[in-house]
Amino acid sequence: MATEFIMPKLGLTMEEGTILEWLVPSGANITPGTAVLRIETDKVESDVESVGGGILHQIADVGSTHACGAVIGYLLAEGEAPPAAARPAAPAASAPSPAAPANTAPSASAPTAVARTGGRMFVSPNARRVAAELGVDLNTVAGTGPNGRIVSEDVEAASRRPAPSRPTVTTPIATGSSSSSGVLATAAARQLADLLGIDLGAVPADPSDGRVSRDAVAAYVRQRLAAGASKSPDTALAPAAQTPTSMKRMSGMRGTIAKRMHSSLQQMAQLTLTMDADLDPVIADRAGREGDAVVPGFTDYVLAAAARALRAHPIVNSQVTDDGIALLPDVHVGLAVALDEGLVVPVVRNADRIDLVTLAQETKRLATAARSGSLALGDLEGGTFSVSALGMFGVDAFTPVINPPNTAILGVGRLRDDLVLGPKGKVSSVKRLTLSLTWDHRVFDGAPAAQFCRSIVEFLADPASVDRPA
Amino acid sequence: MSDERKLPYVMAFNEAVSQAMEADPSVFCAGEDIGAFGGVFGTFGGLQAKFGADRVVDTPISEQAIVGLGVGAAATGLRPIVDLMFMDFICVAMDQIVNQAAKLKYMFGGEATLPLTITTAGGGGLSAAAQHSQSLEAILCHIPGLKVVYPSTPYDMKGLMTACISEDNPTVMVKHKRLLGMTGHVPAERYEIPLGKANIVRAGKDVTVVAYGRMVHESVAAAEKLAAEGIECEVIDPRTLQPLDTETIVESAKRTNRVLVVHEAVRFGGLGAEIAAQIQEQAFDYLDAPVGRIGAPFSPVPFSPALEQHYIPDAKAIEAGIREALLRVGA
Repeated sequence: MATEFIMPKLGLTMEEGTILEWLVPSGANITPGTAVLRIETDKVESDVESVGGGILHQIADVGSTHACGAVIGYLLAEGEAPPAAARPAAPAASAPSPAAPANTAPSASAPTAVARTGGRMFVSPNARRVAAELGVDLNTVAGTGPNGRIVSEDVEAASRRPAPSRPTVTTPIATGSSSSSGVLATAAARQLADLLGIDLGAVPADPSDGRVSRDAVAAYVRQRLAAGASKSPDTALAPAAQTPTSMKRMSGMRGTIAKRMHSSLQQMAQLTLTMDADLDPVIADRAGREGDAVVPGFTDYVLAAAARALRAHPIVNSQVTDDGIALLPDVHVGLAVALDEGLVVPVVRNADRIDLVTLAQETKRLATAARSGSLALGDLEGGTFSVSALGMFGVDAFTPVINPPNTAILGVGRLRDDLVLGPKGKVSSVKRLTLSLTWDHRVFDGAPAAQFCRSIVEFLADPASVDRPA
Repeated sequence: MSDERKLPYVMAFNEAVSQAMEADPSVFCAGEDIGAFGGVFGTFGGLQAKFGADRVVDTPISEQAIVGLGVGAAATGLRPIVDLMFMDFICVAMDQIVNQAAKLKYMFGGEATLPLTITTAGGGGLSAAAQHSQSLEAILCHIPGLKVVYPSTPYDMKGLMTACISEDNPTVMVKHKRLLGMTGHVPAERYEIPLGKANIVRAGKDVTVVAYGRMVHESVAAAEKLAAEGIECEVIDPRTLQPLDTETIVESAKRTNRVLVVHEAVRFGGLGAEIAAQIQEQAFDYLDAPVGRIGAPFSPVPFSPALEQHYIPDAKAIEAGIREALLRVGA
């Protein structure tokens, strides 16, 4: 008779599992103890080995997700045909369908009551030990102690019950947490391991008393997180290909930048457009200021133009919140400043309301403070947009990454001479730079993005328009 | 054994002292009213007549001086037995007991021996009021350098008292006032019960009751009543409270999976707390229920006989505690 092969329940918190790989092909004859497939839960990956033997007949595909207890295959006798309805019932797939409770799994022997309060199963320490010794699944035991606590007598009674026709032929190996029950561990360790779905068997025991402590579970989890949390093959970091000459820790500013930039790209729908801006009027404006105490730089003009354009295009001066897209009344523009150890983005407050000289003084102050490490927290907070310039390195266009929680960022390229074909084939030269606007497509689309960028270009064509205090 | 030799608890003590004094001329006794009067409970009755006033000394009413005398005599080669009439009066002599007797061997780098036995009468049940009824053994057990013995039967009394006198370190022998008249088998010859060895008074498989002093008998009474219902209680009498025979208690806990600790002292900070802690440290994975504790309420011992009867744990309270440890509401 065909024996069902089910998705195992590897921990109290496991509701479903995804098949990563069948390690044994359909039709292969397997013996007890064979590792049959590799599954992934929300916590871990684990090999699943067969308790029984027979000819494997797979009915679930790689990549499909199944509730614990769902049939994913059969073990057949020689020459036996698989059962008629041999397809998995409604795989959970990627849709967030509620996973079937473990008790509805065909393996469950209909426990009459299970001692749970707030997800915690109350089992006396002795009952846990006896259950491990007798191989009794505590999920099938009804507790008779105070508050429904399972005591050893309950486990012994359960072990004397005639064994249900147990189709559960799976036991996890490697990181499966069903081996947890056999491990000597403190109550706190067990609770934490249950909560996190950690296999206590994988956690080193305290050498002084042979028990796994809560601290050891925590250390194990930290170690796994540090080792690259999800150990799926495509995200695991390869070891250094060569012996490194030095190792730079990804902590401090580097770590913050890494985290923020990575999550920025993960969380937003970012894309970049580029647009040229003619800077001849800006150059003329700067020439008119020659000899002044403060002459704004090209980036200052771009920043001022962007600030005015933000006022004209409120959707760009925005932030995605739980409630929706929040349009922000004040325009505070961040300016990326490169430092030896990374970069910081100090903020020019109300950049749309100050004249060019004030703005130039402020950007100079911020850049100096950034390089001397004397920025105040207030200088770094509240930006609604940012500007990043790479023109000094000869870059024309690039794809800046949005500084969360902003929804756009402007890259400023190199100031260059371009030849322009004028009317009647007349060739002239013009000072130009390229603007690179990255925006979050979740918030607005390509046309408004282009209109916003166009607006910056127009402000740059009329420097006087960005020099008026609003 | 109808021809079995029986003695009261008080005479078992007396015989142990008498035989020790016969065997060893360095043994002597000192205390209030123990000579001519033989002690208020008769514990030293007849000893002065037998061994003379030099070896059974009546002292002034000064507990500090009595213990100090014992400490000095022990340090200089004698084997004194000093008596504090009531355990409550230990408090008066605490400096000599805690800071001298318990410390000297340690502070002399092991060079000093202190074969001092302090005897006293503890426990309630005589309506002797709040200053003459206390059970302060937990305080003594907390002091490194002291051994504390609390016999529950005449047989144990003689064997343990003999062991205390032979012991080269300070011991405190607590006699329970309500057990003084209890009779039981006591061999005529000298014998010792080793200190630090518990006695399994009654074997059982369902629950372990740890009790000492008078509570052993209340626990056995409760166990016998429950036996009629098929509940088999194991009753363990540690006999020596310091050093405690944790091994025997833990071994029993691992067999029965449920433990109740009983003492006459108040529950809070009592020896039951220490025993429960030791059990959870060493047998956590063998427990089916929290370790229960039966003790007196957190209050001085009342004088009123009716209140005192209510105050001191009895077989009925112990039976209820055992039932709670065994409780399986869903069974």
